[in-house]
Amino acid sequence: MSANSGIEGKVMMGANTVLNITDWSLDVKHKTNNITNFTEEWDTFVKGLKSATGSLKGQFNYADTNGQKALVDACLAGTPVALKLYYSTTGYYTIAEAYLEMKVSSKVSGIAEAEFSFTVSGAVTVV
Amino acid sequence: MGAKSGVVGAFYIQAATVNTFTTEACTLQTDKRTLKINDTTKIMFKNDITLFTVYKDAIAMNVPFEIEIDCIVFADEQDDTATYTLSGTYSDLTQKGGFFEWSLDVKNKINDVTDFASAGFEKKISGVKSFTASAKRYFVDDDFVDQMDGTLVITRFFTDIDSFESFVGYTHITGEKIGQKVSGIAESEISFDGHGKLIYCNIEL
Repeated sequence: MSANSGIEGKVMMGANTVLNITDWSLDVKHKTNNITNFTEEWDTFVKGLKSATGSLKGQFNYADTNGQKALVDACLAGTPVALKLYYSTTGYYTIAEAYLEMKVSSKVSGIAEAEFSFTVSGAVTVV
Repeated sequence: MGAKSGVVGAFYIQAATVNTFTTEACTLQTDKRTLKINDTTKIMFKNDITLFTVYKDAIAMNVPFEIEIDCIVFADEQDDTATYTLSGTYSDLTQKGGFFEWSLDVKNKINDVTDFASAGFEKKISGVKSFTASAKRYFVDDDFVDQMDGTLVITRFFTDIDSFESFVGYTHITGEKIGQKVSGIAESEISFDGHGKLIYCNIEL
């Protein structure tokens, strides 16, 4: 069996687990370059630049000093962060530099929630 | 553990009451441009530069600076061996009735700096940050429409009113969407555009 339960997921910032995160996503793109010419019936491409964006969602927790607080402070300061996005207990994507945006909300009938979206600078690697 | 119930959320906005202070002690930060007032009960500066005077070694300064939510920022670096004081005005904040939900959206206009040495991956650097916000309430009156006159107001969004944890910034009130339906009650959603920085603070009200 090779599927990974979501229970095994987590997000780390440096050596610290970011607390109260319920989901993460990563979207890796490849801007291929079209080189189709008149002699061809099908589109043909060569490789181009790769890029990545993603998001982390969860219950807002500013008391998480080395996790969510660090993400909030980095977002407000415009400084990049390093992230590891775990899909299993041992497997993860590594992002050396991610620039953050965030949405925070609170409603009386619910809880305070946070969503951090990020744009990656440089490579994404996977273990 | 750590999650915050919405029951302890709150939304506060600048009140009509303003308070003046005179020659309060300040500390020049390590960047030599940011000057913070030492008394944190007075950080909610009213965004009106004409109301502020900075003193260097007890002499009024005539240098350009800007007002931010908890500090002033000089255009140029200043002498970090001098003693700085500040006279100015800070605002009280008030909880408006009927609010039950708020949201904040902080953006960063990332700049692309990819070059041939980027090894096939796009490279980015931070750009200009901005924020917008909204707050929903049961419709009470039209005083927010009256405030859509370009005036900056301090808005404070609490994730936990009991411990005063909140996001604070200057905002323009940019809209109010009001609705009524026979099956419900009149509600409105106020929208805000941030002006300058947003900070996280836990200063007591």
